[in-house]
Amino acid sequence: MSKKNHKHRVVAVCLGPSCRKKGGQALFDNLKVEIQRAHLSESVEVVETGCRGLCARGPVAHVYPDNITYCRLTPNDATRIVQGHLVSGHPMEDKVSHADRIANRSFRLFGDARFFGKQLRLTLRNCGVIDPENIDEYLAVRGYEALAKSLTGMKPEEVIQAMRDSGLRGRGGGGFPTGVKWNFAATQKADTKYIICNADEGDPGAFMDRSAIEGDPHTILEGMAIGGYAIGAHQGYIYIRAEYPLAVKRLEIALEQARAHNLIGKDILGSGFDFDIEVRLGAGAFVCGEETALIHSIEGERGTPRPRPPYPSVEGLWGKPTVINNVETWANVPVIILDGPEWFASIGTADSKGTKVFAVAGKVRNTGLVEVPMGMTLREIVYDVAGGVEGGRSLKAIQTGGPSGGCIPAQYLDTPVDYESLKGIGSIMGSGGLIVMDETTCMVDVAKYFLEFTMNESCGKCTPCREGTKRMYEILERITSGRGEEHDIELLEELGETVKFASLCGLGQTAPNPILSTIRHFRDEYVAHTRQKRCPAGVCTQLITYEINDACIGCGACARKCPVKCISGETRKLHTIDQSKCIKCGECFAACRFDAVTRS
Amino acid sequence: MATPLEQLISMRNEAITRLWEHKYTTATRISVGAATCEHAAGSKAVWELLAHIKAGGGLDGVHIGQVGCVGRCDMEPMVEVVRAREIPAKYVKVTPEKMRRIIEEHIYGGKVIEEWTLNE
Ligand SMILES: Cc1cc2nc3c(=O)[nH]c(=O)nc-3n(C[C@H](O)[C@H](O)[C@H](O)COP(=O)(O)O)c2cc1C
Repeated sequence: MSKKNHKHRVVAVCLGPSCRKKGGQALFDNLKVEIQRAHLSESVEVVETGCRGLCARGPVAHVYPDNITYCRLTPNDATRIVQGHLVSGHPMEDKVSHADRIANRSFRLFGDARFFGKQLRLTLRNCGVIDPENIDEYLAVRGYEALAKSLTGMKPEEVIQAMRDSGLRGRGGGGFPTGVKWNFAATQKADTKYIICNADEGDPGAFMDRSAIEGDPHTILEGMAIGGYAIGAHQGYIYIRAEYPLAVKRLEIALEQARAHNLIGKDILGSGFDFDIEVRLGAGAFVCGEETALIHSIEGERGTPRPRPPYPSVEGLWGKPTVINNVETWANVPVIILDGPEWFASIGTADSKGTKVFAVAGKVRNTGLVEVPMGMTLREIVYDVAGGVEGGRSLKAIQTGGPSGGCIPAQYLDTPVDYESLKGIGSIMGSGGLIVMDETTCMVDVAKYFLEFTMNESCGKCTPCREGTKRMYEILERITSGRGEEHDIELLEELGETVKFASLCGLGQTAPNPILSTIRHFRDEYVAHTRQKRCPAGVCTQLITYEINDACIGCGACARKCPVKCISGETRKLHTIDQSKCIKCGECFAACRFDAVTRS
Repeated sequence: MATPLEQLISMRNEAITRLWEHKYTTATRISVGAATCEHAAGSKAVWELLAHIKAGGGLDGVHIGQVGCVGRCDMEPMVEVVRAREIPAKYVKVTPEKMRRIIEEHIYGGKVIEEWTLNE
């Protein structure tokens, strides 16, 4: 095998079943003949490879080290590859694969499965494809080329312009235009500037950033270095929670390897540009994901937010201009530089460009992490990518944006996913949480779940958030336990608007969203809980009543299962439940084979 | 002096040459999912089994490596087997016991165990 080393070039021809059927074998044979005829046998090797998932464009061949993929080849193309490319150095432009774009460079098979077919993996392009602990694998798929390209032929202003032209917006939740943010920091006069990667990822159930870092840590480092070059910063920080030990380890390994290759550190690739990165661990408080609280935490202060303005791009870490972006935002940067802002801007909708990663969870068949182009409808994400609702039940709502977001009812399933359209229906894009709910989900209970989270995570600095979330939680508790009054709904709305309006940071400003959006779209469920003391989904245990009807044959199965022995009755006679002792566990309901136990 | 881009390209060529030697030209490659989610699902045991076999002189000519997760939480641990002339097979919910059979039937026997592969 080591003989490959002596060759200057390798032409790898795919001889997977599909390519072979379309003439791959003849191409392979012709290449060998042509190479011999051109007296290149000493320097060029023709090898066969297995399928690379480009079957639709086959037969395909890849030339190393030029890293050019040809597609839709015919056996006759062998002459052109050898004479034109290998001898004269002119690749056959008309057959160079567009799969060569960074977006499609995952050579392995993805297209085989429906789950991947509709995805567009830009930021996750290498996740699950390369070995994240070996920099060679990242380099081989054009890793750090975007940084080298920026340092070679682009002025910092041009890098910023590319970001602006791409239309990239922050993926951490807010959706602020990245190029505009960079420009603010770049135009500040200051001796020192900083770059921060926000990898706090505090939303419950979210794991987009963790996965991205664990699968492809170098992309984040590369993006940050490009950002540093663009705004004139020489130091970057990655703020990541200590609960992510594997991600931290992979970042440290990546940093060490990048420094050893002079891709991070002093005088990067001989360009004169210095940039280093340090990993800072957070203790895992949700509020520390908020940018000003995060900056305080890095400074060694208590992680509480402060009013903005001034924004971090003007006055950030240690008072210096600082660009802080989310992990996914940074991962987009090399893609934009490599494939160009125009191409990037061609993906998505008018105001939301590129892709978005979602962590799909809940009552869905294929839970997992997906990356889809902006503008895909919620229906496509849930049904085509994630395989539809579990157990064939009907979809009731989709929650996006986690504790800062809202619930979108089924009638809006055809809404294209972008920042504005989600806002328009009372939710937000958020950082990528997407929970699918079916008819067995109680919307009041969902709102209570998220509110309990924000109440516990409120840092306590400002009163509206600290007290407001607590009072709203108490009202929700009242409603779900059957002690609520109808005017509690209006009270929640009023309180919610006040907390939104008066809170200091995004935590409080968005905490009421899960409540307000569920009231907006599912008011009848709130009314059922308060007026009829009934939970339509049968989730709020204190509102459920189990009863035994005439279908009872007196078999005693329920009575034997009842953990508190509150079911009585003679054998072969109608049984009854003592409501004062019933703990609503549902065991009797599950045990009855005659549909005699009812739940209401 | 070489520009940063020129330096990067020669760095990349060296990296590819190294990968050629260790990986790309190996007739059979096994990639095991290795991320927090994969580990939680049990991928470490699969990896340890492979490493153990390799250390004992088995799996000769087979490259074993780790990759991050591809996002199929419900199907982890995932193991991909790439063999020359074959469509890569992505095995799902792999356990050490299943891995043993994959080695026997697929790696050595050349027969993909279809019912264990990702099919949607
Ligand atoms: C309570 C709270 C928590 C936040 N948590 C995160 C987080 O975990 N990750 C993140 O990237 N942004 C988080 N943000 C948003 C950040 O404040 C900031 O807007 C973001 O890091 C900017 O990066 P972007 O423009 O790339 O999205 C949070 C905001 C608030 C108010």
